[in-house]
Amino acid sequence: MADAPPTPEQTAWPSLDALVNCAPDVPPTWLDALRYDWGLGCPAQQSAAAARRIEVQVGPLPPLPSGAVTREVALPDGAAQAQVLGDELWLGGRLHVRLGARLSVLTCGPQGAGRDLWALAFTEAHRAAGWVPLHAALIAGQGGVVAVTGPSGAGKTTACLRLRAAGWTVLAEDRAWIGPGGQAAGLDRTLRALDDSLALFAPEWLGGAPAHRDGRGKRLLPLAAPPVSLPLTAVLLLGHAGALGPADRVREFWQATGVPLGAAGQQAVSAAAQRLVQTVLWRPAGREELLSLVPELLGAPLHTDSA
Amino acid sequence: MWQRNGDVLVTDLDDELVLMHAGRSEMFSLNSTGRLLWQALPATEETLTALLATTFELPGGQAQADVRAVLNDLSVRHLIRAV
Repeated sequence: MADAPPTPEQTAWPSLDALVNCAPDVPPTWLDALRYDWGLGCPAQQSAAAARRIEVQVGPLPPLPSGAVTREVALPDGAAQAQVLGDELWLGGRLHVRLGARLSVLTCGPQGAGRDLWALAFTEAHRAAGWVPLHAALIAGQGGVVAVTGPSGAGKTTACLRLRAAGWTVLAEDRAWIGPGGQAAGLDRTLRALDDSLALFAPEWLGGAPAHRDGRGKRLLPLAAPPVSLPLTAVLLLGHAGALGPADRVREFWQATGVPLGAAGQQAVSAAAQRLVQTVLWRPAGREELLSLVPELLGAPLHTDSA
Repeated sequence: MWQRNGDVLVTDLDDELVLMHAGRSEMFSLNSTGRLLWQALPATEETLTALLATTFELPGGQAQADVRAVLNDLSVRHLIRAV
């Protein structure tokens, strides 16, 4: 029996402020995986969605030109080679990306590509439009959004659990995005936590229905997107000793975002670095201090419940 | 003649510059002297020396030594190149 054709919801969906359009021959399993990882919109940008598009298609990759520069790219599960020529990328021999501020086209070979390579392609597409990814948690309140960043193990997830238990809205556990207008958005659908951590910081979430878990046994707690887009107001750095001078803020920014591959993304993110280090509060914060600092910075929570 | 490496991303903080080498993911800060020289590129060492001497009212020998030190720091980090 032939597979059912994909539904419009599978082939066209928002990702941040872009509309993603997938060609009819993109396999349904790819559609579902991509939409799960990247199909979250930014509420205040709905009218702009049609103005920016990301096209996903299947086909042979364009031949690699002689002038392309090869870069080694670190991925969560290893490394990949990327070839770069201006705003054209060849990723791991599986994906070709043509970047633009209004239109990016992602072409995947018929053999498919791993999740990490797709992530690199979508990340570059959003960067080309001025969006900045931050490896940070996002906490929202009525006064805006704070990003909590720091090295692995510094306590971002614990901070999310404790702040969520205190009524604050967690927008992202570590996939934070800041838009060209300063708006903050998260691309995480869940907060991942071990039962031990939940028992310590949010025991009320241990009961109920059987838990969904990731490959490491962490419980997946659904995150709720806020009804409105909120601006980033502060970046709090866990595990950072001492005051942050302007150059320190730039260093922390690049550590949290990484360097784009494409030329347009490099220019856009470089401009964002200049803007964000000068207009947003950056300061070190201790784990315990977060619980008093977040209310000080954000005023009241968005909701009276702990969603 | 020295020129900037096109692979460098610049954040201008008014009294200093932070340079990020995109290909190497390495950062380097320039103080006001380095910032002045960076912004004058492309230029020869002689032009940069004259600029520094004029701007900060330095003796020629000191200006030349300062320019050479900055150019050396930048070139070993692949942030500029001689053409």
